[in-house]
Amino acid sequence: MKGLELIKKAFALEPVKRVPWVPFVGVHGGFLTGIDAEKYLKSSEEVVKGISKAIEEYNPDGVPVVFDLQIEAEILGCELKWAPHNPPAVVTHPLADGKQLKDLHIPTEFDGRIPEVIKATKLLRKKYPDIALYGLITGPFTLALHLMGTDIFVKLFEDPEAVNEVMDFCTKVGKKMSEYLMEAGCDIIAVVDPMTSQIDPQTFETFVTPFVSKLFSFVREKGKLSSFFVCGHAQQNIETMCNCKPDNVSIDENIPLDFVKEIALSKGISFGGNMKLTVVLLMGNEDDCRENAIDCLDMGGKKGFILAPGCDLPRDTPPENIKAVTKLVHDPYQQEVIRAMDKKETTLEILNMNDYGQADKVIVDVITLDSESCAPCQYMVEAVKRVTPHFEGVVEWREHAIKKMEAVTFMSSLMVKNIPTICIDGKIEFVSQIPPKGDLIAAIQKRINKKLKLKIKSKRSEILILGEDKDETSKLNSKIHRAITELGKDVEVKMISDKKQIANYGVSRGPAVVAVNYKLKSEGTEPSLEVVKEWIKEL
Amino acid sequence: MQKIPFHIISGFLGSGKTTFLKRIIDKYSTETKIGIIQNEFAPANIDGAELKQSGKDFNLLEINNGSVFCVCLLGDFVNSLEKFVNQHHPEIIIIEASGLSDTTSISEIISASTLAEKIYLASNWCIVDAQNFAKVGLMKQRVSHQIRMADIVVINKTDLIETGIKKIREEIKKANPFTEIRETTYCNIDFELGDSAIKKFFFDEVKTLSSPNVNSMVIKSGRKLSRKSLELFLFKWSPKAFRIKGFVNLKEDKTVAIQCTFDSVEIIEMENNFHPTELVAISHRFTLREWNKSLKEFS
Repeated sequence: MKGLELIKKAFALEPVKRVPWVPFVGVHGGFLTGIDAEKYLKSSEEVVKGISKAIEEYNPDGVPVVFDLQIEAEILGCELKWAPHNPPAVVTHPLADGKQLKDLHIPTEFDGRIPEVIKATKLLRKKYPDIALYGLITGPFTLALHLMGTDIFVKLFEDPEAVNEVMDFCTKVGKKMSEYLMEAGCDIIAVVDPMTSQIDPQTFETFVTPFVSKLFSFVREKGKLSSFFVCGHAQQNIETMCNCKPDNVSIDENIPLDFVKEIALSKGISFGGNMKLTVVLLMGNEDDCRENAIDCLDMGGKKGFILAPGCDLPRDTPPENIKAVTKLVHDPYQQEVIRAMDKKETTLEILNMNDYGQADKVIVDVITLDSESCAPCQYMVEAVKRVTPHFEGVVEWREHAIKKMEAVTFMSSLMVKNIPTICIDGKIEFVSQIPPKGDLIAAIQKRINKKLKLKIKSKRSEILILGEDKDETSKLNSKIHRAITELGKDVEVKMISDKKQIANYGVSRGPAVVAVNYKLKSEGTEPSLEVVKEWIKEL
Repeated sequence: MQKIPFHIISGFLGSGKTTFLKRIIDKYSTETKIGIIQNEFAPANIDGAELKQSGKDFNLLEINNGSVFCVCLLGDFVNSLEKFVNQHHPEIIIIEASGLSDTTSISEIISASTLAEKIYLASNWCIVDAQNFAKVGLMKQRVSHQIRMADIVVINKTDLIETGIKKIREEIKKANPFTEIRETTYCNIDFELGDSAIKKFFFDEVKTLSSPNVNSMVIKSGRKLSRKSLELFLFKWSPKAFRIKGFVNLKEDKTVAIQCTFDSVEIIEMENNFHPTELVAISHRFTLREWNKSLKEFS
């Protein structure tokens, strides 16, 4: 199913087969193309390049076009401080510095960076008709804070009327912005209002609800979808946020996902979030990301949930981390593996597999979830089953379904991370993809050849020439050397002339020849008694 | 290399943080190399300028680029802080965190990034303005999550109100039952360079606190534990920790505040909670990874 379609389903609370995935790529798009935040956010061309790259790399169902909550503020007279790794920060607040509200005008589509945003939206719309485009606008409370500075918190109770006037203005700005973005082709309008995390539910209801509700109903009238983004400690406001009737709420790691799920679904609203931005996505490794993603996927469920980072991705987030999440989202089997590993990891014993695969036969291990319930697993097992008879008893295969504990131990010991995987003599050969017959045969044959080579190599031969008479032994020596050369063998020749030593070989009269075959049985480890007995039997 | 103790001083604009910082600088800057971080969501960095005028010797890192209020900006904060540490080698770091900043996330990030090898979270102070706290119900939301994670809450400007201190104390205890509360005027209180919050529990171990293997750890999680498994979890880890504290959401649909030292585990039920499970530990005997894994096992 196409991304946009899938997201629409999730928004409509219809059950989905796969949870939609929306990586919030903002200035991270510039990281992908090697551009700093300022150049990126000022150029539609760079945004299109960055988002295109993100779509290519992360296979998302939806993406934000531009993630910058300072676009409106900049036009309204807030000074910005630009930084290479972050969106800009607002450093001055016109309404706190003497400007009057009546001096401010609603931005037109030609003001500030709006033309760039519109242009980028149009280009991306054309290029990716099937991916949901999120148009972001600054939420009225956050915009009001940009305009008034922290004075707003004092004014909330000292001069509520003034705050309401500013909120009304900011809502009109938001409405206009949504209009521009919807006309340019956005499917979803996200009202991003992180600063509401700073107020309690009563204040929210008094100062925020009446205004944002207008925005959401405006978007609905236009036949588009809406989302309410918040970040920070805003758990107290979730219910109030849902009451503003957005189509979706999106939150960060500061709010437990199950809490949001319960409230949102009870209000008939979809919800999204809340992968950990900094500790996991930016600073963690791929395993951390998969683990966090699986937690979110399991908590969110397949009805009304959209997997997303908690907020705008930090610019320098390692692309491998996001790709790991993408892969997981699209691979139900990998999800099962992580769940299985997660449960059992703590009690897991890791076996020493150094000597695995040293038997005469070649062992093919297929690590599966369970070939009965996992289709790719089944095909992989069948592929192996079909091929092994060609080797007439030289190759043995086994399936290890990780629903059993031993199999998990085995899998971890071989350092297998994906399901299904084929290992040949303990070495990972085919991961996730079913190998064509020819490839599988070739891989097994390669191993057989290698083993044969090792076997030949492990044999060491010596020829001992025993005798006290130098003339006799040297004649014999040159004859033996010639034979070795003609046969192309690797044999060491030793001369023994000491009477005592000669006697040790049970030789009473020289010259005599003893041929010795050695075979290296073990090296660097202490073999068990049973194993040593086996060796002795061969003699 | 010794780890650098990192102290958080939070509180809303005007509560007295800068006054407190000035006192600390006055008292310690001759013998100790102090690094100060300021992040104020204000028109200009007035406080920074004010501090510089004091003429004392300290290094200042100003985070003007937005307030550290959102986790999406913390990555950059880590980079700036790391550069600052490498450049100035402070013996102690104090962050003056604005009223809008999320002190839990700051703690989490310094305990998880590469910074964790150089820094540990030593104490978390929150300054409350008695006059405003009593007056403004609306402000509680913002102050309360800073109070939640504070080791010490300082009620400042007590001279400006005649009554009501008792009520403020109650409110603070409601948000954080284990915090130590101190009352003062003009932020005239002692600040300990080491780890004040731990010293009172753990006299002998204080010396070892800045040893290279001391870790401060923060877990923020959506997972819930049953009361029983929480107890087991805490009994398992508290003997190995200087301190564990925080808030845990229980499967029984309750939230508890917890505080543990090597020989005691205290659990108090909270009235209501709108936060994920948040735990802080300081220990030299386990790592965040081990601790996190164990929490998952018990959840």
